[in-house]
Amino acid sequence: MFTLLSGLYDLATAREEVRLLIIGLDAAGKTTLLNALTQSSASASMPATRPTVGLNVGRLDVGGCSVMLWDLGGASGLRTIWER
Amino acid sequence: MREREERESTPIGACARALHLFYPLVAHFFFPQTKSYYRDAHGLVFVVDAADQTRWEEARAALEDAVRHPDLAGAPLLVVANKSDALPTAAAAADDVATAMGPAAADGPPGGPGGLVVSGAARPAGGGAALGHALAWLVARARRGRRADALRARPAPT
Repeated sequence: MFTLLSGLYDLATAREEVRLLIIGLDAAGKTTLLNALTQSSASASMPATRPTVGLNVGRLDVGGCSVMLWDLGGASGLRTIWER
Repeated sequence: MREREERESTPIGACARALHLFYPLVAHFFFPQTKSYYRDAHGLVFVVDAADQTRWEEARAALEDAVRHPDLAGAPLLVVANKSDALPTAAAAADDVATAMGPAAADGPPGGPGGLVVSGAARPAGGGAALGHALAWLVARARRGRRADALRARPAPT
């Protein structure tokens, strides 16, 4: 009974999530773009980014929809991971 | 920043980074259907350095490879002509990149709603209104359609 109720509660309150993949060549500005999108516009100084090895994850709200951003490293040796 | 550098310099940190890097490959070997960036993504954002024309051809090849991949079928595509603030004519950056990227940027993955090219810059934060509108366009298309329905039916990746 509790499982049913908690399941119904989860179903009623679950927010739709959209997952977006950010790819591109190395040094194209993917991580900087991710930081600019996820951080508030108040922060004037952008932190310097370093080449991504692996993955950066960011969350964002677009029109009431929860958006998850996956920023993958773009170095030529890492590009095979995009499709994995 | 210093903590980060210290962590990277230790052998354990190096192992952790190597594991982090190769985990998708290892996971794909043992559990071929568990997790895939292409398969689990609703939509695709492709970032191009608009200020570096020498690499546009390489970017076009990478974009075509991605768009052609069957795991991305039906996904909407947003191409960001990034660093347009470094160019004298920021407005033309999107047009130039759209031309250079060819049909892959205009059509997007097959079976999808197509692609959109927008100029972007990290400053002002988020690249201004144009990028915001483009992102809303991408999200609106990513959350409906056959691909979104198929993703909804599958368990969400952790």
